[in-house]
Amino acid sequence: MAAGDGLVTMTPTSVSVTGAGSSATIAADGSVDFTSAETLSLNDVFSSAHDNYLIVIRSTHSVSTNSDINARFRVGGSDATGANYTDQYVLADSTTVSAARETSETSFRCSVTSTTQSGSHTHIYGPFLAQPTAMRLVSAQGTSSARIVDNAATHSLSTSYTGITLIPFIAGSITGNVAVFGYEE
Amino acid sequence: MSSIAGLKLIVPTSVSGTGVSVSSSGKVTFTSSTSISVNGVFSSTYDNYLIVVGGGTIATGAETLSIRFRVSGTDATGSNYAEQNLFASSGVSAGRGTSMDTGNVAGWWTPLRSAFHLYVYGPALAQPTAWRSVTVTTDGNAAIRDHAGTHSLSTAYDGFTLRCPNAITSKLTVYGLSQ
Repeated sequence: MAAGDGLVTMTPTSVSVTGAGSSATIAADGSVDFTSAETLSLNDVFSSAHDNYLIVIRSTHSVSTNSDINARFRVGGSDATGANYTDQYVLADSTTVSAARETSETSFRCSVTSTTQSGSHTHIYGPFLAQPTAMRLVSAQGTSSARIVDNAATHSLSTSYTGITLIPFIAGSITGNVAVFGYEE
Repeated sequence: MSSIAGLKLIVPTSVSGTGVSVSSSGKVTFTSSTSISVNGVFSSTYDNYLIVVGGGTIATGAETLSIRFRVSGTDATGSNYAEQNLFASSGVSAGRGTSMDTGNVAGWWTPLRSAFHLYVYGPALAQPTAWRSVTVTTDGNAAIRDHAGTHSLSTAYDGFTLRCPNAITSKLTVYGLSQ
């Protein structure tokens, strides 16, 4: 990494994946290719080197035309599974715009997926800091056409996290690629 | 944990269209253009891309900007694009287009400047492509008109054409996200 790069890839020290026939591979460029994942954990992608991060996910789901990909922060190899996450989302689906808030959740909406191609950018603000964390999702969900799914989320614990676990909300598995970037500061 | 550069500016191999030029550093400038073709920016080096179109103006009225993916200098013109839009001004509304021959990415109004970030997921992969725009435009004040879209063909594209029925003036840059 050269000073002034601005956005740098955070290569996990390790990954773990569950699901029948699943795999996850750390590529040379630091991103992670995964197939048939029911859960995917990225370890040591958050550190004191950066306050804020960007997670880019491109994925397809094995069966669902509209599924979220939820996430939990993790540290020391364990996920934060308490009901400490809050989501606020806005959905644009054809001519309908809707929004809702979900409180006391055990994970947050980190991305979206579908049987067609979907993609997302998720901004993570301060996960390694020993203070609550904020997150913001901007996505394109491919279905028979497309949907806009945006989400703002918070995690209330003042814990310093080093990793993240991705979990498709609807049963099934996801295949794609995920990259974590740190904003240089 | 190691770190490597994550966002790389890409220099197009060529551009085409009336009023369209590209600098040696990769910045594409277009003046009073209705079709801006950018070639040789998507490749196997990156899966995902960011296109930044900033400080733009449209000659007259209000119009929708759209994109067509292209390969070897030829646009994909089939009815394989779909899009979902979200418009927030004094109120909020949404709409969807299916079986379109171009993919909407933004709406620009006169007289103030408009801009957008366009995230493109997997255009050079031989599988369907998704995109998402995050925009700012004007309707006399400030407005949001974001788009999500899909292109259903499993074709590997190397470029795109930005289109608008009314002439637009702006600059754009293309970045690859390291992955």
